Amino acid sequence: MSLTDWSLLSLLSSSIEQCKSIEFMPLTSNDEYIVYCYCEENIYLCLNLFEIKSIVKLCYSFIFSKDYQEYNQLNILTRVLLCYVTECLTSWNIRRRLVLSGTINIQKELQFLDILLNLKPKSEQLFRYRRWILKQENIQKISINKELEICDRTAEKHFINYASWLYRRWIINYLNINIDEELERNRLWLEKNLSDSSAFSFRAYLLSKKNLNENIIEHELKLNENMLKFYYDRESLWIYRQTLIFLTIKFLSIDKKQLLNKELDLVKTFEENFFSNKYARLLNILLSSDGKQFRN
Amino acid sequence: MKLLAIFVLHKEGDKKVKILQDEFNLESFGYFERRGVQPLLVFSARTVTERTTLGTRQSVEADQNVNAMVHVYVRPDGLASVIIADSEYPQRVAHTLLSKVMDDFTNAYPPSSWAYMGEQTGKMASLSEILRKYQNPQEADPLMRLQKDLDDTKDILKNTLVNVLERGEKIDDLVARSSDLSFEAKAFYKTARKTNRCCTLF
Repeated sequence: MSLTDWSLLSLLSSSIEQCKSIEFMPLTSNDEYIVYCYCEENIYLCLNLFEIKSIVKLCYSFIFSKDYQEYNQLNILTRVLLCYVTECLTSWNIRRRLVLSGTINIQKELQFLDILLNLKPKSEQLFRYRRWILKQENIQKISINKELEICDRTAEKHFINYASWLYRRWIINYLNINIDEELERNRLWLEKNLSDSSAFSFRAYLLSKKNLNENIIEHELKLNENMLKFYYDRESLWIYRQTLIFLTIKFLSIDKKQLLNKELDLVKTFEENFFSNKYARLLNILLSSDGKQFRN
Repeated sequence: MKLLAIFVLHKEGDKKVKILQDEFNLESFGYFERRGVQPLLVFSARTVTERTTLGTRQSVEADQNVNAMVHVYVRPDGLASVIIADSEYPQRVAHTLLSKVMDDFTNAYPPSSWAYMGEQTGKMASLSEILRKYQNPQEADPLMRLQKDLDDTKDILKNTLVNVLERGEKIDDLVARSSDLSFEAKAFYKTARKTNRCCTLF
């Protein structure tokens, strides 16, 4: 812990602050000096993958020391540390304190989080902190499109991203987003990422928030059928179809037998594979029993 | 689901493979990462084509650094085409596109000229358009209906890069020897391997 260490961290912090994109890549150091980061065109920052350990250790030793506890110093230290280790709860809590005291500007902090989410699209703590920040902000100042764009991007970056879909559910409720528009957005997103079961589970959640009627379900089943024609080999589509059938049986008073037989006929029109067989087996079980074992 | 790259290649004799034209879509990668990824894609396209015999199709899983499938079709006349897509992209569509790319290329450049063309001198305009348009595989639906030999695209051999290599060859040695890869790309390949293994950082 020397003055040069401190100036290294402040330098890193200010580069992180002004850059629009951060990546970790291996950079080669030589005998004379160690390369910590590399910047191009003032907005692309590359941090050295080999120096993560040393920087993290340095940050920790400063944060838990007695001397560097002023608000602006803590701001610098936690910014660097969180860039390297996003799951460090202590640092997030320090930043929460800094936000409450007014040291950190909320809009700027949202931008910082945006950049970090590109780096760690599945970080639970990051999303949790972002939710907290949004609660501090005036609800009029929150950009709905920005939040939805972040959800789309992180979900695409990391397959079946639980943290991201959970955040999206929260956003839908908190900002009171129209369910029909959201269903349409979800459909477009799924067109390009149709193996993502989390997105289908989110879609089922959206449906369950609406007043279900036969038309909606029929429309969904038709949509799913059209996708199955093209991609009969994707498990996510079959699982979603199964969810739809369960939703129908649970919430709508229709002729169960007729529905299940119709489904069985439909399955026969597809080429047989592991998933279609599994689905057909399930339909047969539902037909022969009252389906009690599947309720709830 | 996305297409990362399309190549048109020419295979002369047994081993020599020449890339006539290529097109990339690397938006999903970071600014610095792109520089490591692009040469790796070129390298895998060339390596796989070299080891695919004339008149065969196959889909090869690239190694774990880039989560991608290399779809390749080498025509009996030596023209070859490679599509690198992520593993989400439907295999049948990729192979339909391969045939289309080569048909287009044969129309633009007659077979007699292939042997004299230099590396990456092909300037067929439709290649970048194909790469853009078929990011959504459903666009290819009408194309697939037209295709008569769809049935032979049904059961295409799936392989891994390690299996494609000939006896005694090792992927690490190939990477080290390759002239497609710069020093940085080789470093990227090596560290990506290392970090993929497990959480070795802490």
